[in-house]
Amino acid sequence: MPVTLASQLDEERRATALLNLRNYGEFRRIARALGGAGIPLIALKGLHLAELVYGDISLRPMSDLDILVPRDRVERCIAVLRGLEYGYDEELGAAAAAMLDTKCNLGLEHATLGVWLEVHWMLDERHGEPTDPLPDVWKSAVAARLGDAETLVMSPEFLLLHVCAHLACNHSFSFSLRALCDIAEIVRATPTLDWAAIAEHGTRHYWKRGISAALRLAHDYLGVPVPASVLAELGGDALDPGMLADAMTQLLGATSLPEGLVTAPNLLAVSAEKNLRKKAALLWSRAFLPRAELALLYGVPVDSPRLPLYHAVRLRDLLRRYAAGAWALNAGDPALAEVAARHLRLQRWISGAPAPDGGTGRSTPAPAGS
Amino acid sequence: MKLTDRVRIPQEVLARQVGEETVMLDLAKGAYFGLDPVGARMWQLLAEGKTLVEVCDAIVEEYDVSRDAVEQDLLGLVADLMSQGLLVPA
Repeated sequence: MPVTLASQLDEERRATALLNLRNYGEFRRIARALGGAGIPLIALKGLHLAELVYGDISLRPMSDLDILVPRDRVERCIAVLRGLEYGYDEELGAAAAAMLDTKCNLGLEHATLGVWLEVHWMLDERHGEPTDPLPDVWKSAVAARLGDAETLVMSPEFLLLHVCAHLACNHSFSFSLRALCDIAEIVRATPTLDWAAIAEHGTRHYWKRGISAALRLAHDYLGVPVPASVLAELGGDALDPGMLADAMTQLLGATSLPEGLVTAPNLLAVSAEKNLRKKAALLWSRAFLPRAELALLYGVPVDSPRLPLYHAVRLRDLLRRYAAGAWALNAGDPALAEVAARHLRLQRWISGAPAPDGGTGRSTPAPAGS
Repeated sequence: MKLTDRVRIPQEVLARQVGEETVMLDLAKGAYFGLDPVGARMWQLLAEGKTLVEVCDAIVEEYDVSRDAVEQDLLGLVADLMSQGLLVPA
C-alpha cells in the first residue's frame, strides 16, 4: 500500500477511535441515566457493532447513537435525556407522544457536544404491520457491556436481520459499502449464528426480500458464508439478477452522491417519480410536517401559537440543505438522474410494489450480480 | 508511589485498545490521551489490578529490557497519568 494512503488510513482510524470513544462515553451516561429511571434500552447499529462485533472501536465509524426503548417509555425517556442536555429546553413529551403512531424514532442533539442521539421505539415506520418483529427483538435481546455500561443489545441473529433490513428496506441500497462489511463481520464474529432462526424471522416479517437481497450481495461480493439452504429459504437464490446488479451499483456509487443526497433518499425517490400527483404528495409530506413532528424538530411546544410560523423555517432549511442536490437532480445530470431512477426501482422492488410498467422497472437487462 | 502499590482507573476515564496503542478519554474534562504500545501494555496490566512490581516483572519478561529502565519508565508513566487524573491510588 502506498505510504501516503497508509498514513491517511492511520489518521482516519485514529480520528474514528477518538470520536467513538466520546460516543461510548456519552452512551455510558445515557445508559446509566435511563437505567436509573427504570427504562430498558437496546443499543443499536454502530454502538453494538464497533465494540462487540468489530472488537476495535477504530474500525467502525458511527455518525450518531441509536437506542431502542419500549414505546410506552418514550415520553419518560425524553424527559430523562432532557436532564442530560439532549433536545430542547421546552417540555416536548406531548409532541413525542403524538408521533408514536406515525414515526419510528426521534432525533435529539446534545446542547454542546454535537452528539446526535436517535431514540427509536420501532425499527421502521411500518406501523400496523400484521407481523411486527419488535416483540421478538426484545425477547431475544442479550445483556452486554458497552462503553463500560451495562445494557441490552440485539441477539446476533436480529442484529444481522436489522443491518440487512436497514440497508435494503430503509435505504434501498443508497448507502455505503460499510453495511456489507457489517454483515460480513457479524457472520465472522459469530460462529454459532443460528441460521435457522435467521431464515425463520427473515421470512416471517415484511423485510424478506430486503434481507435476502442484502445477504445475497454479501455472499456474492464479499464471500460471506451464508448457507445455501438459508438463501434458498429466503428466496435469495431466485432474485432478479438485474435488480441485484442495480443494488450493487447503487452501493458503490452512493458515496459519490452530492452531500445533501446521501442522507436524503426521499429526494432521490421524489426526483425519479414520474407520477406528478405522487411527486407532489411526497414533496408536500416532507415540507409540511405534522404539528407534533414540527414541534419536536424546532423545540417548540405543540400547542404554541408560534408553531405554524415554523413551516416557513422548515422550507428555508430544506432549501438550504437540499437545493444544490435537487438542482443537480433536475438540471438534467444524466448520471444523477440514473441514480434516482435506480433508487426508485430498488425501493419498489424491495417493498414488493409493482413498477409502473408492470415489470421490475428496469429499462434494459443487466448482468448477473456475481 | 512505591513499587508495591496498586492503582486503579477512575470512573470518568474511558480507555480502549486501538491496534497496539491505547486511547483514553477523560469524560469529565473532555481530554484525550494516547499511549504507545509499551505504555499501553503497562496500562493494561495496571488496569488488571497488578502491583507496580508485578507490572515490571511482566514487562521485563515480555520486552527483554533491563529491570532498572522498566522501573524508571513505569514510575514516570504512573506519576504522569496520576497528575492528569487518569489513574488514582487503589
